[in-house]
Amino acid sequence: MQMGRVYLDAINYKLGGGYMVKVNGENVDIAGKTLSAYLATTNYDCKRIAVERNGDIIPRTQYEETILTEGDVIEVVSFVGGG
Amino acid sequence: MVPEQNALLEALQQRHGRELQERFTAATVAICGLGGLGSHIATALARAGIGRLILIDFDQVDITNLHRQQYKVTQIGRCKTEALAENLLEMAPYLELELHCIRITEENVEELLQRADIICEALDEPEAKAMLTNRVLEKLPGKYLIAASGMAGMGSVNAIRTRRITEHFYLCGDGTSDVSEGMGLVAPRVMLCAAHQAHTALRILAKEYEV
Repeated sequence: MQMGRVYLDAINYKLGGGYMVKVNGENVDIAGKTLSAYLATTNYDCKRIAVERNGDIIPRTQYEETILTEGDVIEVVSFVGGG
Repeated sequence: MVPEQNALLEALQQRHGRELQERFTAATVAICGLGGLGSHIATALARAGIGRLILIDFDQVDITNLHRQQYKVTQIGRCKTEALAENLLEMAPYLELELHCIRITEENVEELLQRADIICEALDEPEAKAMLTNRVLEKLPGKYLIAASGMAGMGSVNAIRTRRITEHFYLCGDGTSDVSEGMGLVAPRVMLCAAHQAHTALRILAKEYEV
């Protein structure tokens, strides 16, 4: 099993992927996690953000059930005050 | 004396070209929040000859607004919707206006904004900005949303920029300058962000979608 994983890692490395999700332009190793589990590891305030995945908004009610998959491009927009 | 509607339209057509002006005149833009951002967005769009503006704000003009918002001392205490309407009609007398002196909530977003082609988010509080953004993108997917985040303080003018986050969602500002960091909003930098939003709206109407 260990060999299999190493082989897969090598292929992914070649493809420039890994088990990576792109969040705001940075590769992050969070494929397989839910969006809410990922957000819990960050400093984002969930009341101040909007999250897009591959160009579509993720409704706030779906953060817990949204599973991030390899190759996803995520944009977290975090608002600051002033207007 | 107020010029005839045709004379003003011809003047706009001379500046923008007939085809572009037709698009501006046919457009409805909603402006959510009429503070430093919204009052300047509205002024720019009214002058550009946008046909119809939906203006939404629950607040009254306050003495602390005058350093950065398009109101006059004589308008202190009045509803921002009415005061701004009065000012806009002095510049663009044939502008159609829809005024809502009301707080935008999750419940009324769709009803307030369903007639708009383009929606400008110009609210103050980050939670309200995020709520409106989420709601519009979820419930009104055909609309264009131009939001703003990060324009407080004395930072560089060149840090203010416009990003296209998704096909229908643009975000203006520097992304980080919060009002709570000891420095409030300063007129030109807020106007700059408002100008980004207003010009992005015009570019969308001109079918120039890239930033």
